[in-house]
Amino acid sequence: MEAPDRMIEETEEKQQYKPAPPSSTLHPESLHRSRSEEITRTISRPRSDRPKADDPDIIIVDWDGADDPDNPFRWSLSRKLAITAVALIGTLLFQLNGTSITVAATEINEAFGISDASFPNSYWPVTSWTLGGATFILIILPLMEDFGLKNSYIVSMPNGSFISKSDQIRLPLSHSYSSSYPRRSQRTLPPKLSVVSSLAVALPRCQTASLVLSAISGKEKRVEPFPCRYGSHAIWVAPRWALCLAHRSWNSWTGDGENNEGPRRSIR
Amino acid sequence: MYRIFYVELIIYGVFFPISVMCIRETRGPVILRNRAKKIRATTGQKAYTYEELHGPKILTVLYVAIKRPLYMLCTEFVVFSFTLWSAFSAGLLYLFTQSSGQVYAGLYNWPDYSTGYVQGSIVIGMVVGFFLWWIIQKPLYFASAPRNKETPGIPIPEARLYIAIPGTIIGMAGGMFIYAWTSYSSIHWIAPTIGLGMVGCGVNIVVIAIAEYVTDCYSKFASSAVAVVACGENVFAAFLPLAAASMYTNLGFQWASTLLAFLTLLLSGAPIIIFFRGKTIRAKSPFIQEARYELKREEEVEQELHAI
Repeated sequence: MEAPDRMIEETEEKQQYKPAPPSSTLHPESLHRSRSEEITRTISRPRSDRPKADDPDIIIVDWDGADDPDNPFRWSLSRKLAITAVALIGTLLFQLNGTSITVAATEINEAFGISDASFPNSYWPVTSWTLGGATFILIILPLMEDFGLKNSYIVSMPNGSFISKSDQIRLPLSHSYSSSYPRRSQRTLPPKLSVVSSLAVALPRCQTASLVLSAISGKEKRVEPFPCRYGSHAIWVAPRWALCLAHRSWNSWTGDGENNEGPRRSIR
Repeated sequence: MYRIFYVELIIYGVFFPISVMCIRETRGPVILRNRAKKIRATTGQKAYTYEELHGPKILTVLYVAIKRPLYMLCTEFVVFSFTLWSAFSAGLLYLFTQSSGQVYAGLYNWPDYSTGYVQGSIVIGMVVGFFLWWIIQKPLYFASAPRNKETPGIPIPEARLYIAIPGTIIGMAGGMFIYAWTSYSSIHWIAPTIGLGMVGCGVNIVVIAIAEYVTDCYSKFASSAVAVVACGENVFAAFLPLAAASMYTNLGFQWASTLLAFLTLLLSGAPIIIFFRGKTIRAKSPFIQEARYELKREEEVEQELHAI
C-alpha cells in the first residue's frame, strides 16, 4: 500500500499539470514535482554541475514506503517534542540579548561618549538587531530550506541575532512540517505544540529580556552587555563593532579623551 | 563589571552543546539528499534525489522567496493591513523599552534598571492575554464550524479574529489611554503600570490572531504571508522606538501616549473591515483562491482514499 501522501500528490499533479495519463503506477519522481514546478516557472537553464537527468544508470533516492522512520512525519512524538523544546528554549535565550541592551543605555552612552539628549542613539544596536531579523526572514530563511535546518541552526547560533527572533524559529518548524502539506501537518504536529509555539512567539519579546537583565544587574550600577554581544554574535555584529572601534579611535585621535574607553575595560 | 557578559556566556555555553545534540535535520529533501550522498560514497551508484536532478536553482528559490512576499504585500489587502496592524503592535512593545524609562524616570525619579522591572507588567499582561485567547478564542473558533456556509464543517477563518478586535480596542488602545492619563507624579506608579499590562495583553492576543488568520487563509502560501508580516514587525521594531524620545519630550507624556492610542484605534479598522467583509475579500484574492482550491482537492482525494 502506498503512502496516502504520495497518492494525493500524484492525483493532484495529474489533474493540474498532466491532464490524463492512462497509467496508474506511482513513480517516486512524482513526489516533489508539483512543488518544484511551482517554483521553477522562471527557470531558464539547468544547473551545470548537476548530473544528467536522462542518464539511465541513475537511481532516484526516496523514502522507503510510508513508514520510513527517517521521514520527519513519521518520527516519534517524543523526538518531535524534544526538537521543538530545544528550538523554543533557544528562542527564549537568544531573545535576551536583543533588547536587554536598552536597560544599560546609560552605561553604554558613557562608554561610547554618545548622548540620548536629542535622539535615542542608544537604540541603534537594537535597530540593527531587528533589521538583522528582517533580513533573516526574507533572505536567509528560504536558503535554510536548501541547506538544511540543522546546519543553518548550528552555524547561526553563535551569530544569535539571525536565529534568535522567535517568529523565525517558528517558521523553520512550520516550514519543515508543513510547507507542502498544510493540513496534514496539523495532524502531525501535536496540537498542543502549536499552542506552545505561539506562546513562545509572543512571550519572550523584549520585555522579558529587560526584566531578566534588570534582575541580574540589580542595584549594581555597571552593566556591560557589549563584550558579550560581540563575543556571541561575531558575524552579524562585526560591522557594528568595527564602527564602534572606529568611533573610539576617532575619539582618541581627536583628543576627545574623556569618554574614549571602549567596550573592553579591565575587569574590576 | 562583566556580570552580564559572564551570565550570557554561561547560558549560551550550556545551551549550545545541548542543542547541537538534540537538533536533528527536519527537512525531508535534505535528509534524502544526505542519504543519496551516503549511497554514492559507499556503493558508487549514481544515486540522486529528485530535487537534485530537477529542482530549481538556489537563486531561483531566493528570487521567488523574496518576490512573492513583497508582491503579496502590495496586492493583498489582508496581508497589507495585517502587516501594518501587527507591525505597529510589535513596534509598541519595543517602543516601551524606550518610553517607560523616560516616563518613570521623569515622573518618579526611578533609576534605569528599575524601569526594566516595570516592563514585567507587560510580560504578565502577555501571559494573561495568552490564557484569554486559550479560554475564550479557541472554543469560539471551533464553534463557528456549523455556521460555515462556504465549506461546511470547517471553522470560518474570520472567527479567528473575534477576540482580537476587543483586544485591540480595549486592550491596546484602552491600555494606552490609561498609561497616558495616569502619567502624573501625583498618581501611584501602579496605575500606568496596569495600563502597560493591558497593552501587553492586547498585543499578545493580536499577534497570535494575526498569525493564525494569515496561516488559515493562505495555507499553501502561508510562509510567504507570515514572512512579510514578521518582516514588517521587525522593521517597525527597528524604527518606531527611535521616534519615542522626541515624541515623549515634545508632546508630553500624556499626549504622546494618546497619539499612539489613536493610531491603534485607526489600525483596529483593519480587523473590523476583514471581520465584516472577509468573505468578499477572500473571494477576490487569487492567492487565497488557489490555496483553497488545493485544500479542497486534497480533501476530496482523501475521502476517495478512505472509500477504497
